[in-house]
Amino acid sequence: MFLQQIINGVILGFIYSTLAIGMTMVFGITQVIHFSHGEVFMIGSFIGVGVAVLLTEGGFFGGSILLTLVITLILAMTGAALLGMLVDRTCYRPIRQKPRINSFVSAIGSSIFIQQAVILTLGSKFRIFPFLFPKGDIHILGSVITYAQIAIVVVSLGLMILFSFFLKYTRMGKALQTVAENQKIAGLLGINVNRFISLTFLIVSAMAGVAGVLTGSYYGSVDFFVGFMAGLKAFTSMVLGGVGNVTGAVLGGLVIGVAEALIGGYISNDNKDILVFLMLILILVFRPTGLLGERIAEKI
Amino acid sequence: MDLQIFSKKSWLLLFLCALVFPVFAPEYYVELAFNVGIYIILAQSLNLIIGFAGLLNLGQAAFFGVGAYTYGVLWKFFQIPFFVAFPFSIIFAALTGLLLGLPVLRVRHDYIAIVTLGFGEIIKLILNNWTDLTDGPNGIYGMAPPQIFGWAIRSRVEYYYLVLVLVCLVVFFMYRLGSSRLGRAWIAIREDEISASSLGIKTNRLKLLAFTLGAGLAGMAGCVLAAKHRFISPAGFGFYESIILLCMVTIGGIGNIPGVMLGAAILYVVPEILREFSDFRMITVGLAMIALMLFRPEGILGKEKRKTIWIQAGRILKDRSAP
Repeated sequence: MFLQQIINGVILGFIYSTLAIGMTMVFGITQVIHFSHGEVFMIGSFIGVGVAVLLTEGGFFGGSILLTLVITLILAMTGAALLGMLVDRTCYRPIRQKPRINSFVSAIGSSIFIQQAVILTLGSKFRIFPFLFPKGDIHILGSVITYAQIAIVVVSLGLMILFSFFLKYTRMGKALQTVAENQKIAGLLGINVNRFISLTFLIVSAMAGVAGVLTGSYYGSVDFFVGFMAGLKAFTSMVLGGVGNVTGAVLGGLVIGVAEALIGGYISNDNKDILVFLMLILILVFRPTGLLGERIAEKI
Repeated sequence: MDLQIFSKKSWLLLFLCALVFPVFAPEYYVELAFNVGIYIILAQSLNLIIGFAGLLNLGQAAFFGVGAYTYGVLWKFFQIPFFVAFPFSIIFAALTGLLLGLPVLRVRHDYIAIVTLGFGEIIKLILNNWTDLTDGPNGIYGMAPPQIFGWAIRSRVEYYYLVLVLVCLVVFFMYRLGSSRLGRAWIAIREDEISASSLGIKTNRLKLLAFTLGAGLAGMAGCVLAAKHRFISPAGFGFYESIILLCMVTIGGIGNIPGVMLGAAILYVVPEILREFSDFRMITVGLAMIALMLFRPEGILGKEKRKTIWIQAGRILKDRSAP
């Protein structure tokens, strides 16, 4: 039972991590809390539902699960990436030089806008997401791991490794790090700062889209509110791991996922969210720099 | 602070109009005006926290809820009448504000928004899940109307005058506060906290005070609303409510007292008139927030913009007279 809860928590944690990496990257580069990241995730999920239903019901690809999953993922990634870049272009870029409170209010506005646009066009009821994973499970030490869970871990871990490889070893990744370090200097070195910020939004939103499809298919349903909650928890993970720290975001996501599963399983499922929010507040109060973050003195 | 947008005369005129309003207006509009009054108080309470002290609070609806539920719960268990419960509503909401203020002291900037958001969600979930105390999602109903010396406030017009008195008090309070030593200290904290503290301003204490006062005002509005509707449920005190309040403040211009009044009126009345498009209410709120931040971060009555226009006009005049 305990091990089972841990496994469920780790799965949840990988999803939060995938989102938290995005939030932390955006924050590291633009100093904006990307409040609508959860909404990008939700849109990815909705695109996934549309494509997956179309493909499974239409009987394309001879009902091949793998091909359906891949096509769904690619389309959801594309849609989410476009949305993420659009949000950056319309809500963040024009006020990048203004006080941070402005871009934060604008970020909240974009989040509300996307949520409401979904309600207006698709309704506020939940949609059933077809199961896109191979069926079956493995038994280890009395607990069950389904193939779906393995698939989630493999895909999200793969994305994370790919992303950190990109960041560390490619020319573009290094340029991105320079932009995060100092935008002015990066500009002087001939890096097109705005283009690299767009690139960041593209990458992290595509990752959120993948997370959206995986979560939707794993839990079986999608509604307009999933993004808000997932976004808040991803934010908690980001803060827990230390803002701007990619490894920290992964770690934070896993901790939050496991904690949520354990609280839900052992304490109270109804009050699960209260405790997660309480955790967020306590983390911010007692360790505002997160687990892996370093303490930085406030500049005058 | 720039408080010269409305002169004393125009305030007096506005007050007189508000005073005679129910004589001419049909009941429906009086009801509308009552709700506008409630939202003006709420928006001003948030304006105190965001505008004066610069603490971006996304959980203001929680204080509103605490105020309403204080009256509801006191009535449900002890049948305590309105005017006795009224101060308790303010005090409990203010204490909640103090409680939220404590963790906020430790964090800065946007993190304040997230802490307060989480806090607001916690309060809402508590109202929802603590069924013994609050009856959960069903809410509490049947509170008695307010009574003063055997005269019960029942009709819409009477409620309107009650809220009018409160709005006048709150607006007066906000003006006096804004130009007081305390208000100026808050503005110093808002503009630059480190400089403010090196000038000897006790930043922590003042931030707590901002939260306490702002929460108390919101609690007052909650108590009046609970008495008027004679029904409260957790649904009215969630995140969206906080966002609507934030939007009212940003429309009016953060820290701008008449602007925020106007913002509250616009954001309540316009959706009410366009009832058949009520689905579009929140999407417009979202859009308005983005648009305002992009094009008019100072709000529709923003002083910055006006000032630059006057400065520009002055420059043009100078240039003309120069040669």
